[in-house]
Amino acid sequence: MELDLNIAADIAAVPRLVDQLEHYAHAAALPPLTAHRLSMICEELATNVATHGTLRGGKATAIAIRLRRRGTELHLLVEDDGPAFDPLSAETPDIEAALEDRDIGGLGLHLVRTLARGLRYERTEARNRLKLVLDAEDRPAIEEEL
Amino acid sequence: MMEITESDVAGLHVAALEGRLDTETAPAVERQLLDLLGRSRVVLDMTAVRFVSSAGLRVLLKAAKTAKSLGTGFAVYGLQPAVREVYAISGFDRIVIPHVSRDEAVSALR
Repeated sequence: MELDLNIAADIAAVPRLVDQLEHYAHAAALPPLTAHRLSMICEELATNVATHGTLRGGKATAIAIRLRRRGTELHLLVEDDGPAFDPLSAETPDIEAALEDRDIGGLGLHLVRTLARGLRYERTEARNRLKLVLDAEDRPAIEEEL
Repeated sequence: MMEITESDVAGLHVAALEGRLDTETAPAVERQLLDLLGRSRVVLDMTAVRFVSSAGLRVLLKAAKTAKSLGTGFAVYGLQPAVREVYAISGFDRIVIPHVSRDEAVSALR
């Protein structure tokens, strides 16, 4: 199943995006972990573009999401027209820190980088393009039984 | 997209969330949780939360920090497997222990 979504680079447009991804996951009968990873990754990336795009000067106006199923993989492309930003270069949060020392930043991209693979960032034609791959079959990403 | 139901159990406040805990719903949930923590110990029922993003995790972190600074208690239970996954990957297991049942969460605050 294929999915193409185009939304305004606006925080107010993100909930509807997640609605559509949940609908897709249901229609495509994606297993629960995969469905959640897909919605969560798109939520994090779209929110990031909609908020940080502004902070970095210049402003993204649109976000495009393209999803293709290839066998047991989901290939995702997230594109925006904001200022150049490579999400793969963002600092990793210290997830070992104690409660008092835990910072609240950087978690979203950490989740994206941990739950997706084959991440590739390109800056072409004044657009940020992030490609990533998800397993369409649930495989636990953490050691314990889920 | 987020319902919050409150009830009192054994002298604790139980707040049950339903829906998505994300960028859209996080601010209201945070306000409500911090308000509750100002009045009592809080047990958060996550059984009906089907989606959590980093914005949602930040709310839980803020609530845990607030509980600690106020000398009150905050416990979480009922994480769905997909939610449990982002929780573990973010290292939250060590800072806001996820309990499996309400009884266990309530006992942890005694």
